Amino acid sequence: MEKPKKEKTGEKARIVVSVKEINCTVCATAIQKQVMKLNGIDDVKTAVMLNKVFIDYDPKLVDSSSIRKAIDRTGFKSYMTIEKKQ
Amino acid sequence: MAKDPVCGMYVDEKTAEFKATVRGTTYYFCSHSCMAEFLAPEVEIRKLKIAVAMGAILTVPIIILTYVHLLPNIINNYVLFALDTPIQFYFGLRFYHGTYDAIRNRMGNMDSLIALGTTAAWVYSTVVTFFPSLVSFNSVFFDAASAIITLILIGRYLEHISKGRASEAVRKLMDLQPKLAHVIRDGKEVEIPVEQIEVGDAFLVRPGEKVPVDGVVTEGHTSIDQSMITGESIPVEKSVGNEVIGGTINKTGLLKVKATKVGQDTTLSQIVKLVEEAQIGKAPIQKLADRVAAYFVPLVTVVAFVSALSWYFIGNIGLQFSLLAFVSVTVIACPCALGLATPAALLVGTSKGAQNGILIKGGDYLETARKVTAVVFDKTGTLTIGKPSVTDIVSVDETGPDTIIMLAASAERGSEHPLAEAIEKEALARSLVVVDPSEFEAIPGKGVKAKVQGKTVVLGNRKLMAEIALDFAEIERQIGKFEKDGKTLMFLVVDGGLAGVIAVADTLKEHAKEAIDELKKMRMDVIMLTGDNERTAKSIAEKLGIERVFAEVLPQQKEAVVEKLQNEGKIVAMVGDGVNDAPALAKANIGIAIGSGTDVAKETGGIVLVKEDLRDVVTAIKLSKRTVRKIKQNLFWAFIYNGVLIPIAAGALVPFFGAQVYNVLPFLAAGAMAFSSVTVVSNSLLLERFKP
Repeated sequence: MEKPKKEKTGEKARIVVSVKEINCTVCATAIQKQVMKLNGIDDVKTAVMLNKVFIDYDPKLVDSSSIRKAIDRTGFKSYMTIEKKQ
Repeated sequence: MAKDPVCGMYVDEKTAEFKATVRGTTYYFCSHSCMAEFLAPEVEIRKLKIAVAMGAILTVPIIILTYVHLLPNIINNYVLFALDTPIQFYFGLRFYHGTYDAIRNRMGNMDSLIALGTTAAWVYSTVVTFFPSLVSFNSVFFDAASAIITLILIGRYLEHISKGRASEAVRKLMDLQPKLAHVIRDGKEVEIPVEQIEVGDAFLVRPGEKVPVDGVVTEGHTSIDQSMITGESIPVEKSVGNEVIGGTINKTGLLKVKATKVGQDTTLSQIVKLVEEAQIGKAPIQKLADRVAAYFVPLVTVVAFVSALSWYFIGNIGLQFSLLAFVSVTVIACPCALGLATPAALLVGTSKGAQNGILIKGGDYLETARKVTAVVFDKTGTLTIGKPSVTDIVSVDETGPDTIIMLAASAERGSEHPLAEAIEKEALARSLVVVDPSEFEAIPGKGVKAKVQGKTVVLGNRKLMAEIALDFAEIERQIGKFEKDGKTLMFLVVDGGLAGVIAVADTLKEHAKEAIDELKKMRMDVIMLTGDNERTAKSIAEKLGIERVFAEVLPQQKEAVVEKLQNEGKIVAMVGDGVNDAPALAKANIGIAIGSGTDVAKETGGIVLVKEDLRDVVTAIKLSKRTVRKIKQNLFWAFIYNGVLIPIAAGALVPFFGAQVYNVLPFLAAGAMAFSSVTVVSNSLLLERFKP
């Protein structure tokens, strides 16, 4: 399987998604893998203690709602998002 | 008006239909769906609580009936089946959900291991119950299956509580900001939600109220309790022109403030952001733990299969014990404790720091700060106040210090020279009445000449004194010492006669000496770096007991000095102000920016100190050491739980105690599993006790 080539427009944004109960880093990797599949994602980091996922993305290529959908697909429920200025 | 925390809409509290109180704060929602979404974790935890209670209620009789033979054998198994099945498939449903997600995501997780282990036990026991003839040995493991699920659920519940306690500090910070502000719009005072304040808005803060956002005082005078943001225990005086920080408490007077920073830009928001983002900047120690954790689940599944199969075919301990070996291994193996070891300690440590005005930007900085062997201080503005002030007054005739200062301040009135400012400040401190001079003449590079209250006053340096041929041999020894100490002298001549000498110097910050003594006690090399001349540098260094001084260093050379020290094999912490010393701060192994005040975000440096207090440098290093020690303890525990107990579960004890040991191992495994995460998080919470 060939990975789709990541496009880049240089735009940067960060979204913080609260996810219900991330028990451990292993579970967090599932979120990471799923979100990274989207186009325009720069980085996905999880904070297990805060139950939050920090996603750096390119707002021209992907929007926050598709990121949220990707997280929900892993079985974790995202319930609050905050967009942060970079 | 209140803001719906989910969608951001504004809701009127009085008419709001949907509201919820979470940890003492009431939230208002625009719709039911927003509220449900917001409360999701709360509902979740309630469900978990019920599952734990029901699991325990059903598990106790299961264990009693398994070990105390109250019922005939044939009926007993049916009863156990009836009691365990709801635990397995209803209260334990979450593990199957988790397994389903794991399969979809094509990766193992803890739920799948629990589901695998307990399902194996349940299926075997069910077969024994309904078709006893199929197996040679007819004891059942409903006790193991139910106890495992219940214990794991208890563990999850406790983990949730302890995690909540650990992240409470961050939440407490966020809750400091009041919900409403009194803004002046079109000349009238209106109450609006804090989120609606814009930069430039004027707002009122009454005594006892919290300052809503960062701003500058435009009217009024008060003292403000800033302890929650900076850790200063004594209230700070604020008057027109001073900055106030959102979230701090106005103690005494009414203030009118102009908003300068709102929303995500306020000091409070920035601090919370720094603490939160410290969680995702991974410490090297954590990267390793994560990598290990990622391979854990597949590895453990393999170990479980291999040990069960080898005990059955090679060890010949029989189907039931082989099965229990499989169950024990799968259950014990969650790497959760390993995954929580670092973030838990890091969160408690960084929050503790934030409460004391010490912001540590990430785990990697913490690890470096711990190893520091040399602390380099910038002089001006870091060790010293950075502004000259009057240090000594020599009265030559009977004029007296107060009159000397009064005359000097009056003569200098209108001059903007830094030395004039120092004298003016001294006059203010002594509450002297300064008058306007009737004549004034500046003598560039030398001083001033003025007429004050009918007297001819000359205030100037040695050059000027030489010009007017004044002799001061009498006091030469005394003033010579001042000059040796790097102080600047100003001579005051009244009506042709020398009245006094004023010595001006940059003074040490209040706790500089204590901080340096403490660092030396910690066996650190303390080094001073300054652009100032050798003489001034030496005198300051002497006062502080600093032996190594780099003087006359140009700003662009500071970096090179840091590098030089690094080449000597030192791990260097550079303490300076984040703006002027930025390159040196960046070059050092760890940069400590001091006295950021409200500009928390702009600072370079891995550690930002909000206050000007140098003792915070010591506290920051101590806190780093303590936090890293906690991380290591946590990793040790995680390793015991995950690494040492796996071989035991896989049968390491069988050669010593026989296969019977598997009657207890599944319980032990589940217990260890349940408490591993809690141990790690609770151990981290001990950091709360850290006192600066």
